Amino acid sequence: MSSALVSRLEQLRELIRHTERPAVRGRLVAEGISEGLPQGILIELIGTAKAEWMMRLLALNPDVRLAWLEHRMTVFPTAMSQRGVSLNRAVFIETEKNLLWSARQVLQSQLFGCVVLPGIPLVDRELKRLQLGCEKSGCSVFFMAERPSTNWPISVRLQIDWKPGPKPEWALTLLRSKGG
Amino acid sequence: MLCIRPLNPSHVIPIAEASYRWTPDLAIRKDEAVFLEISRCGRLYSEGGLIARLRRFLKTLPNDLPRNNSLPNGNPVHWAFADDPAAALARTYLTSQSAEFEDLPVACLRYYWEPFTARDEVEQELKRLLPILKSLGIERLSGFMNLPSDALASRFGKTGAYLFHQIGNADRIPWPRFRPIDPIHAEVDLSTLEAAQGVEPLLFYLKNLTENALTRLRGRGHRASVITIHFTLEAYSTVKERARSMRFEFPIPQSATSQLLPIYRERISTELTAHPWGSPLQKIRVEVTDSVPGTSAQKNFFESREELEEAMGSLLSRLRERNGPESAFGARTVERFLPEKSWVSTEPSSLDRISGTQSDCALRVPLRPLRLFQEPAPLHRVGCYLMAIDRRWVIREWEAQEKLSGEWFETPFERTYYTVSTDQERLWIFRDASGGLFLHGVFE
Repeated sequence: MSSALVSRLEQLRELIRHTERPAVRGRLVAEGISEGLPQGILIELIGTAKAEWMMRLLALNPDVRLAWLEHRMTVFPTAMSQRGVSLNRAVFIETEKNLLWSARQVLQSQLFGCVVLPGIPLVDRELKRLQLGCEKSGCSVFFMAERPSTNWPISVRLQIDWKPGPKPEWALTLLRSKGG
Repeated sequence: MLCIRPLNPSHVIPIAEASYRWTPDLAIRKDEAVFLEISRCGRLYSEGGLIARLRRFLKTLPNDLPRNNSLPNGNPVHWAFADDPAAALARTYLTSQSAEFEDLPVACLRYYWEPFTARDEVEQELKRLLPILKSLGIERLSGFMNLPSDALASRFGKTGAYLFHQIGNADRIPWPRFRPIDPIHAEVDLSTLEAAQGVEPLLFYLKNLTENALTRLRGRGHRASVITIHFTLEAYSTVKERARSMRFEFPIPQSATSQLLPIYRERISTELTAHPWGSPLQKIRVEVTDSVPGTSAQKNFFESREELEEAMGSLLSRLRERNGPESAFGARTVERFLPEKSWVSTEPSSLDRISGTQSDCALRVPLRPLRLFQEPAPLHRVGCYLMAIDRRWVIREWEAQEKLSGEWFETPFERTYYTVSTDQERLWIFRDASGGLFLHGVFE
């Protein structure tokens, strides 16, 4: 068997392990991260395939309720549905100028397991407030950022990019993981 | 029997409430008509006397309709006497009190179907049935009733047979009895109490008043779907508007004060910032304007679904209060070819329905990008570059051609979509019928 095939086989096995693994309490099953992602933290996603990876995460965690916040909505619900994300569990919120206030309200409600925000420049004090809200509610906040920030309250930073080639595949790089 | 059809739908309930003095046998068709059964009241008043009294009452209603819709005496209302509610209602629509049963057009079948409710399904079925009757030359109800009854089911299906039966027994249709709503309200007179000028002192009073009203509402097994708070200010000469009201509509009916206070706080803060009180508050009144039956008047010990539903309703109310009424929503896919119209916003699903897979109509089309722009952005292709107003991409590969056309019933379109791999991201672009290129989405 060629090395390419062995490598591909290993990838498939890894994928099956992730798919079959039940959601661990306090952790989200995440493709490419064997131990999953802890809940109740701030996570920053960058790269050209970050939304695709986010959808994969939501599809792997079908019991997690989602709040998707944007200034003006650009996410395409039809595409979410195509990727196995049930729209029944999603609430979309167009916030205009009140993004942070709306995010805090969502966290305070303790109804959601996952909140997605656009990547906007935030000072550490605002992020710290969000982080406290995350910890209390056990809800993970994902920032879909254009470029990596330097804020310290971000616990995990992931870069997901499309691999060059005819097939739409992505490559995941863990850029930061606070606390190991 | 008398049918009163006010041209202003909000007048139905006041007319029904006022009509209790003439007969307890009354029913309403929601937002449309009031029916009075007066056949047994002949010793109390005559038809003419009833009409005269009714006219006097109608003059007290705010007449916000154009005069040309009014009856000669200025009352924005139509009425008609008949033996059965359907015929009476039909006559109000014909604006003729003299139309006999034989004169009623077949379109009036809808009133015989369900005189006390209006449903879309009835209209859909009639859309199918009426052209058939017209093609048979049947334009009046008398013509319909002259058809042989044993052939109705085979000609028109069960609808025809049902309508024939309804017309024959129109005077024996059971009435859904109207009962006036007993409003629940709680108020506090602040003239002898400490003034409540700021938001927090105001909420202190509102908490008690709301708790009072909601507890009484829970006793009826109901939940509040609309609450109105009325504020009365002291009569200073500088204050032009002494009475102010705030109406709170909840997407999910509420029964807990704790969920309502954040909504109150949000609205009152905004209102007071824009328009501060001109004088001290004299009275606060909390009124449950509308309510719906609650599924349970008691807490369920084994699950907290109802509390979570209320928490979700409260969250949506707060978000909509601050960001706008359309700002928080759910979504579902629909069968439309035009990508931007392939989903519609809905009320978010209830919390016990979070499971489920992708819908069929989304699966029947090729994979769509996760980011879709509301307005496609014009693009220009120059050699191996794609240029937008403020960006430029180097083309690596054009893939996956998909042709979409249709929507002839609205705005016809014809687009050819391509997935383009570039040096930065994967774009979803289309070429329209005129050859122009547009960026419509990004596979992010």
